[in-house]
Amino acid sequence: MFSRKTIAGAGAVILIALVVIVFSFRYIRTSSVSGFSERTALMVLGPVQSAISSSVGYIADLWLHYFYLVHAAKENDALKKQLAEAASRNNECAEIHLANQRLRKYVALKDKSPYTLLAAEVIASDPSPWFQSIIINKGTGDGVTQGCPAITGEGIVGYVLEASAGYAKILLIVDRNSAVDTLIQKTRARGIAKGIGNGLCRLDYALRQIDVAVGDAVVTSGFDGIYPKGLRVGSVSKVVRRNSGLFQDIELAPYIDFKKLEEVMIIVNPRTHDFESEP
Amino acid sequence: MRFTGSIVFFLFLISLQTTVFSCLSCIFSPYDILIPAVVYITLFRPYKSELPAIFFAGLVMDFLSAAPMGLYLMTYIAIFLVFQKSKKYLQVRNMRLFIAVSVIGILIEYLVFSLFIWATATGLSPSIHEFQTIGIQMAWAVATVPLVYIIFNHGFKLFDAFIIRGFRPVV
Repeated sequence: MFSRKTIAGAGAVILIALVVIVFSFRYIRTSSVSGFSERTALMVLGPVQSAISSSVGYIADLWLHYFYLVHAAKENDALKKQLAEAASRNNECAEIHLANQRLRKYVALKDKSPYTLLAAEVIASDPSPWFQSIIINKGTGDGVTQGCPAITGEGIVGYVLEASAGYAKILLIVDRNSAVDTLIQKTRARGIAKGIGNGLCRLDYALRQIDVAVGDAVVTSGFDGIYPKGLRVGSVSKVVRRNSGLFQDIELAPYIDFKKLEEVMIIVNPRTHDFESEP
Repeated sequence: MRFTGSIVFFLFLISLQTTVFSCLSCIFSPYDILIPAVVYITLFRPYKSELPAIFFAGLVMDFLSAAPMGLYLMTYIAIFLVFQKSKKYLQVRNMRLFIAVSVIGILIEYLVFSLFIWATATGLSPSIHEFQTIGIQMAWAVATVPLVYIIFNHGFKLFDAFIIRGFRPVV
């Protein structure tokens, strides 16, 4: 369409124009007139610009961090409430989980046990640290009667001292007035486990010649007519064999931590052991 | 009416003692909160109307505890009699005096209980654990009885004002 001559001419014109523009631009940028104007403009407008931009920034900041904070505060309140609710739910879940774990043991115990067991919750403890008893939320109306043994999966707790229609008082085995006829499981030697008041028992009337060691398990003998035979009582924690005397001093640590007791099982039909049927 | 108020007051304290304070026994050995109450009533209240309430509180504690029947009753009556007799020498309504008398009251309770325990449980001698317990109880009493005194003081003042006004609410 265009001749080579025309294209070469146009290219030369464009090239010259570009060169002129580039050179003229450089000239303006470095000329003293334009530099002075630029500096003056900067000097005059700079502070104004700075003031305006900082004002705008301040307003924007105010808007974002103050007025917006009202919403943030509301949101914070709502979130705090949600967090508190979540913490409460979390605590509730943890409690349910722990109760579930405990109750599973009781269900297992109930399934295995040959006795009729009644689950009861501990609602109060003895008002005095000198005596050891608990109050449960089951009474004669539920089939609990005076003398019924109370147990947990770990061992025996005590027996029902008094029962009203809806509540019962249980004397713990660690009370000074409690006595349980027991057997040392390994040797089958008998002794009377008496409470000594500080969460421990003492095994009385264990003959000196009997071989007893720390850690030996002690179970109920069934001879006292309250506790069925073979229930776990505790383990021997201390043995003192004197050079004289008929008996040895044995200290017994119950398997149950009575300070953390929350639920117990009451044996409502404590069948007495049929000793005659034993070989 | 004072009698009913005192009964409610003692029942509230007994509930606290058997639930909240006994749960705290795994942390420390709480003292019997009814001792400062009995001491307060003995020293600062008209005894004719309050003695039946102390009697009632002792009986309820005996019913709830595994202690031999009448032990709490006897202890509270003993504290009442001891401080009733010495009331004329202890006229000053003073917090320090109240602390001292409360601590003595706790000590009296311990002595009465120990006497019974050692008399009934054969072969049991006082253990270091028992002395620790009574020591902790007295230390807690010294630390907390001032607060108990303030609460009782305000509580009884409000109650008396309430009776004088004839159960009309404050306008």
